[in-house]
Amino acid sequence: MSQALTPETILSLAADAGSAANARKLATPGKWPTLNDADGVLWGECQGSGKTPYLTAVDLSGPVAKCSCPSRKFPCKHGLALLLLHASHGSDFGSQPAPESIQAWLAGRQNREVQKAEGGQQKAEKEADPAAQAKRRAAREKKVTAGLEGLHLFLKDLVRDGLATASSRPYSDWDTQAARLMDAQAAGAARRVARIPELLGDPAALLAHLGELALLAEGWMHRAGLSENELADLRSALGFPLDAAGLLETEGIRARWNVLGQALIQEETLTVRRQWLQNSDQTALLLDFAPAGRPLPPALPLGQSVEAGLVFAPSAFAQRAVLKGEAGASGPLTALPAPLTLTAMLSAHADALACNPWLERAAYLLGPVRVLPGEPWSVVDETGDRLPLTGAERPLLKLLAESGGEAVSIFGEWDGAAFAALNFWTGQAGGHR
Amino acid sequence: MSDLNMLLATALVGTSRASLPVHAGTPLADALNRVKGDGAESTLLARAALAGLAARAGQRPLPLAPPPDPAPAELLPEAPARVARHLIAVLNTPMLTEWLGLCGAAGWRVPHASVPDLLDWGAHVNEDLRATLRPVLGERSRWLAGFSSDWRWLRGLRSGEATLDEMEWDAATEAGREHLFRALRAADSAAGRAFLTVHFKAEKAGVRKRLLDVLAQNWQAEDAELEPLLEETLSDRSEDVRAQARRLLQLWPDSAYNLRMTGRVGSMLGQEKVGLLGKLTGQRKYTLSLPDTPDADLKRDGLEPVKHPAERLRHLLSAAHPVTLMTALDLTPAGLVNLAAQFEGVDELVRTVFASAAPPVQPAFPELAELLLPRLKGSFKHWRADLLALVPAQRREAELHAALRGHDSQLVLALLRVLPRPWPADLSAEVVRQLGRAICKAESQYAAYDKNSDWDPAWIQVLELAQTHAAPDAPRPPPLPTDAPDYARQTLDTLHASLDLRAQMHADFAAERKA
Repeated sequence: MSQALTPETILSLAADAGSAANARKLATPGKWPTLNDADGVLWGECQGSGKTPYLTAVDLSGPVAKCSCPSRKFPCKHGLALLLLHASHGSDFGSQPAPESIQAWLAGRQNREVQKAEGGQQKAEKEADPAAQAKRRAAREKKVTAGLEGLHLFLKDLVRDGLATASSRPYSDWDTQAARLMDAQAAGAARRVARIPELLGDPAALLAHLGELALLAEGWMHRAGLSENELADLRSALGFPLDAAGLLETEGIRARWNVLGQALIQEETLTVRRQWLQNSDQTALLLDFAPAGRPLPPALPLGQSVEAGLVFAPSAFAQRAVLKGEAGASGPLTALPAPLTLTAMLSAHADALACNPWLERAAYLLGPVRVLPGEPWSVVDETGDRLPLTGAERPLLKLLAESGGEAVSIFGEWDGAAFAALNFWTGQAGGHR
Repeated sequence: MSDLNMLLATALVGTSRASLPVHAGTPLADALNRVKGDGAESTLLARAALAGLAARAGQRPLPLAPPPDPAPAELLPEAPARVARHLIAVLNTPMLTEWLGLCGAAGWRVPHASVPDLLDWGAHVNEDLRATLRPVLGERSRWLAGFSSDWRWLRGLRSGEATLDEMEWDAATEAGREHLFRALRAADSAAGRAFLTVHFKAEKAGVRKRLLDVLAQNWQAEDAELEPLLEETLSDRSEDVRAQARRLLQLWPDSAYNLRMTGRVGSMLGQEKVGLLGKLTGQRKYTLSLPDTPDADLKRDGLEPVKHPAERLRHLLSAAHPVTLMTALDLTPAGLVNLAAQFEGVDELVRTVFASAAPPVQPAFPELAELLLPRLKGSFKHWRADLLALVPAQRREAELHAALRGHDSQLVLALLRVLPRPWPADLSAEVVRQLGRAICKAESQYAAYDKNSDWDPAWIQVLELAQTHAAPDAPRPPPLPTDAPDYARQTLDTLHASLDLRAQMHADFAAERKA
């Protein structure tokens, strides 16, 4: 199990690029006076800046790391370096049992699941005050209604005056409208309004975008006619937060999930991480956010499978999910779904959009496909169909380096305009790179 | 016209001026016509939402395009996993070149997954370091380099296939042209010379200077073919270019330039009579005079008019090849040094020894360097290590051991810099021991700038050099005492970790080559 961890998988666990780079520097046996592998628990001592070396341990079943260094990142560079060393210098590890502090940590981890279940129940009892909740919800909905009514009026004014004059409007018009929607607690709508200025040069795209915004506003006015799942999609598009606590009270799907892709997006004030999991024909999206400069919660091992419970958020096209408890033991990938041709992916995406018109992206496994360098790069399947690729050129060059131009299976995100490759497999999908 | 464009025609001028379109002849027409809102604006927006969504959902693949030809088959076997595992640790460290050298010597190529990182590294380093990378990159790398402008450095540079793209040359900046010429010369030095013969005169002065700089950096015996071009360049409009041409012509003992220079020395020298003792000990005493006949080439050869003959001699000593001087004047190395000493020209002779020490180093140089060593004075003492680079290796090592014992960090550093790696085991052990002695009281890196500290910037550089050049299996001194400062202990630990890693690397390469 642990032997299957590749350096790429290990570095994908890093909270940021700095941790990954520092871990690579530390991954030489000379910097670790003690290295041990005690029944699936790696532990070692790494000389840091103080007199006492740091004591680092990794429970390979997660993998989850613990370290005595002061870093607030999980896992820290020492934990990652220990994993990297285990992958490259496994024979240098002894088999001494872990010291007491590590044993206590391991025991604590085992007990925590039980405590969490009990604690969760108490918490649910404490928070349950239906009357107050309903009151809060009604107040928020009232604000959103007012905000969206304003938005609809604004949109109607725009098309009444003509979009030809839209670009001569001062920027403050768009900013004010976005700010009003933020105040109305409709952050999703505000984000879409804030995108208007960048579309002013492309009137067709602008009109489609305004139509989408109008659909949000109209959808909200007519929400009484929507099914529960459709309403959930609308609420999510408007920026209503996911009721994660409520979701975690439900059963969820306990299974072995393949961790197929990870996208890390650095926004101005926020780091967003999307992790894509798959089990048989279900694809799940785990979303994590952290303020810029702060670490994200620990990632799941990319290219591995994990034993985990997932609860899907209600949606007409169920995709967003939350992790119930900690992920369990990791292992090699289990069977992957049959890869799609490009036409099949477009067709599947059309079906998804028919369920949820606000769906921003979905993830698919394509294959057998080749990548074609150019401006932009594109992905070509066996039938000669081609779609544009998006994202940095570097990972695509790495894909070419390993595939040598031969057909591969690519897992990535399709947003209706371009495909962003997140992971790939040479040879038959399901085999490893 | 598409549905969305029909709606756009109305939306651009505004619903107050234009009426809603009636959709016809498209798959979505009926559905769009059925959409009705509470007013023209709502209807238009709702129809735009539907048309936009349909466009997004009904995305069609792009027209057919042929995928690139697959990469050619590899000719070399891939480096085994046991040695490739070190690559991740040494990437972007000074130890990478050693790994590449070991891999190249074993006749292996790097794993495909490492190719982009190594091509990136190659894009940021100089030609010497690229030379260590090229042999291990394999066919996949050459194929891949065609897809990124950052990796152009690898393209078209296989021996015997080197050509310069004229269009690329015309579009390049001065620095770009230098880079292109350097790459051409590295791939095929004869092609480089042929290119220079044709293009040199047409270039601007800045480029001409850069092209000659490239020649000077790795002068080869075959470059003597360029003598006619360089002779012509002595009349170049730019003094910078003329000076560089003179330096290049000086490197070749048989060049007409050197013969002119030595001819001038010969015409200035006369011999004083020496007494019996002088005759018996083979001493010569010289007189100097400036020749009466005008010298037409004086200015071309970079010589200014002078008042005193000794001034002219010193200039000639610094501008002519020492071997040509010795041959023309029938002098031994000791005789040449004595001549220089008589007219206070030792410094010039030292300078000329360095200027003409391009490979192949002449057989007379070790003796010449040995004779000049005790005569270094003033600022020329800094050149001691450079002169020692010319003496036989044994003599140099003895000097190095003496410098280590005498804690002369500057000289140790200067001598170690010219020593090829890996250093001998006993020398490596002594360097590591002396580093431990010098650093043992250093509280932080700033201790190197404290006058009373044994630790100084030269030792820091020796430490950096030792990480990559010391013999990794050399015996190590005992660890520092437990009360030694953290900085000292950690710095030495890092050095030992690097040496351990290199030792493991060597052991793994040796084991895999045996297998």
